Amino acid sequence: MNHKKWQVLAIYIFVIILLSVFPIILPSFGLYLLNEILIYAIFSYAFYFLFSHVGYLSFGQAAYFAVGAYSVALMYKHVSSTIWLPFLTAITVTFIVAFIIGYLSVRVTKVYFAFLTLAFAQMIYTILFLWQSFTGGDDGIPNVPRGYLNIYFMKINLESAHNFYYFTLIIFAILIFILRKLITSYFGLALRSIRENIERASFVGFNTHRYVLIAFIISAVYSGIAGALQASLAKMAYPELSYWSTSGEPILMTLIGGIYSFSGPFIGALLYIFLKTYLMAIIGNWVLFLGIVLLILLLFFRGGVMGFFEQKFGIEL
Amino acid sequence: MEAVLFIDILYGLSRGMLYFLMASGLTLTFSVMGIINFAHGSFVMVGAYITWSLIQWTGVTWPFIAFLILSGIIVGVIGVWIEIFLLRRIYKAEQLYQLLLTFVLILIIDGLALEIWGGSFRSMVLPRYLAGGVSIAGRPFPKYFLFILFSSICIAIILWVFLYKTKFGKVSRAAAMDAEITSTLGINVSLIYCGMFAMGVALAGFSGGLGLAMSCLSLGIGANIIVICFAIIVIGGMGSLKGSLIASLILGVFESFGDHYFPKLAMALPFILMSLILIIRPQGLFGEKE
Amino acid sequence: MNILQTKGVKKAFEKFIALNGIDLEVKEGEIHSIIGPNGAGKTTFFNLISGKLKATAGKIYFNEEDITGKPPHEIAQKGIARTFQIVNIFLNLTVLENIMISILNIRKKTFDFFPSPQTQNYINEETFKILKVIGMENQAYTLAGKLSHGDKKKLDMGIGLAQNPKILLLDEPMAGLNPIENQAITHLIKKIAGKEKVTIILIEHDVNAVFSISDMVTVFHQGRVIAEDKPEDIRENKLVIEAYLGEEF
Repeated sequence: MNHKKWQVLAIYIFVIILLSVFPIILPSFGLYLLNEILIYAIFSYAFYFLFSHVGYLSFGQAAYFAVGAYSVALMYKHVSSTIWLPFLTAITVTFIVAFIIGYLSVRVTKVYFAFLTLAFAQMIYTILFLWQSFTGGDDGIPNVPRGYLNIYFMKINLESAHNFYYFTLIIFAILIFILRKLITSYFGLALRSIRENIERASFVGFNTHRYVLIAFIISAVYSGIAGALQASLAKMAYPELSYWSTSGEPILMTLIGGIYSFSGPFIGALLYIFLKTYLMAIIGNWVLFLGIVLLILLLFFRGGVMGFFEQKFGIEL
Repeated sequence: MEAVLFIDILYGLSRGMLYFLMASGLTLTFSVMGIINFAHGSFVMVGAYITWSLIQWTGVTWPFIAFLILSGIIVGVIGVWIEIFLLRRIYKAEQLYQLLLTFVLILIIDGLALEIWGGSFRSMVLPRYLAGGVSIAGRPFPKYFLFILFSSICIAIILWVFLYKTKFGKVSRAAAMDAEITSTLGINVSLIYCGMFAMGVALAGFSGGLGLAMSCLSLGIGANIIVICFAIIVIGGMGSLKGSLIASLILGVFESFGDHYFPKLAMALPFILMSLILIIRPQGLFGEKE
Repeated sequence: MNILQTKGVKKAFEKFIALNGIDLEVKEGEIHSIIGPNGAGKTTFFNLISGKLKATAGKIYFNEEDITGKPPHEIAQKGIARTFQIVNIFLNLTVLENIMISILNIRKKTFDFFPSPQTQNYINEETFKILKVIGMENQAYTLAGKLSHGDKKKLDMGIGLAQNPKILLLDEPMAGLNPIENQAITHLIKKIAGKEKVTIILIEHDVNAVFSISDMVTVFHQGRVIAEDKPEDIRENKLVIEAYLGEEF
């Protein structure tokens, strides 16, 4: 079992190195895309964690994505120009919102839960849309600055595409590492037992509501961080970030990449964003195309791209 | 003053009955089959588009209600098709995969609608006998809303009779309570699932056509509709038709007053009510406790 | 000392009364069996004790503490474990993981994210101890879903045992087993009661097995206790015979 652990670590380091090197050869548009891929990968990992390891399907993670985005946007606009405070605010606010929504939602069955998460996300969309004085309503918040990263004596300007990319990459690397630790820990085993048989888990003595709530909050905070990064990258926040179609994107990406594989969300984000950017111009009806692709995946290739590879080559990534 | 109040309530009831028709299909499919059809709003939208197309082709020569019923039937047939070829494959897998499938269905249905009808806004001209207003309690009230109220109540009664007085209805309710036992009694549960799903989406289609005249029709309305249906189901209780009815009427009336006195808040009303219910009584007004 | 006591416990499902006033006393360390025809309310009784259902009336006392109406995880943490009539294990986890889950919870190690080598060894040791008791050390890395029916039942018991319970509720542990597996389970139950000093309450239809290992037997019929005695005396009890045979007429 230890052999496998070193294998995974090696792959992880390799991928990080690869991602560090790419910016040198990519044009600025490619860099933007790669940056976006990392952000959406984080967003997809949030969904993946809750679905694949706890067995709870959430259709409403866009809510936390948007909350993170708006937190950062509003903090920059009114308060600070260094990056710590806005990001910490994003994490804190997302945590609180997720705690409230999660507390109300985990007490019901998995199907009702999925449903509720979507309803709450639409509620947040409505709030963002209506509360014009604070959130800018339909227009959202434009011209979000990226601020400075103050470490010791260094002041790194994140407006530079390169600098912001590495910032995103570091956060990505840290978050993925933490997630991996969570999954392979005793806590991860507890979550998997809840996924497998929630009834038995409670009879073994687990307060299952509490465990699901914790996992839900972790998932939400990851989404919030992704949203915070996205608002900084695109330099704007708007209500559609909370719309159900935004919730759908991490689901679609994870489905494409592979719902059962740890690398699934990342591969899915990579493929999805590439395909969307280059195919959308060619294919007129993108929505229909996407729907058909996903239908085929759901019916015949539920393990996604990585699932397909793992079956063929017998490896597990 | 009383007249205004009465008019507001009447508006609310018409609206509520329309909501009920929309949400009833969702409640039915959930209570009998245990799945939540996320694409329900898209079916409502399709019903509206079909009604619009039928009217375009034939001109307003048939009685209006015929268009609505026909739309409902067409959407119902589409539902049968979807149930047989798609949903059935996934029953054996977990419920969560069924949910994902209905979510993907939204994309497919919306995509197809874009192909068939294009992306521009549509609106409808009402036949003369339904346009204009009547005078109620000395104030004007649109005839069409009376039509909505009247036809919804008729459909609701037909639904009730069907579920509680016919054999198919009784058997469906049995299957809703326990599918395994029902099938051991020699009843074809797949047929029931198919029929119930078809009925659910037929109701959606009908209500789509009914609601068509009330606002503009475009591709995005499915999302707004499913959101309102969600709120109704949470408030009324999952799987309870009675709950959906009461919740729809409450929402309709509240929204009507909201439109009149607090227009901005009206948009958030479904969620405010929904959150209140979740805090006070999570299983909904008529839902069953876990 | 009574480790478990129920007083007037009733359970009604709307109009259907499943249990109509059960007074039961279980002494610490005994193997106490509950038998009776199907539908007598035995599993419902277990469901009430373990917290799956709430009693309509009556009280349940565990070590003199009132546990009526408490949720399942609390009751489990207090020291009552149960198995299920229909095998209810973690199918997609390995045998090792199935047991380890239970141990992690009882030893409160689920939130230990950086377990020291001592902790890891301790957890592994405790897990293998249980595996040894149920005789499944060699199948530690097998997926639970791939086990034979008899092994699944053993694992079910193992999960309960790993909770380090004071009372183990066994719901038809011998259902669906062949004679060899049956003997193995009977032997295991005796071992658990004797060596591990766990009080066992057993629901079973295999009357021979019940009579061979029980200290006390309670007979349920239509939601009521119709007899309670040592095994030898229950055999002769007219009411009991009627209850069972009465079904055939």
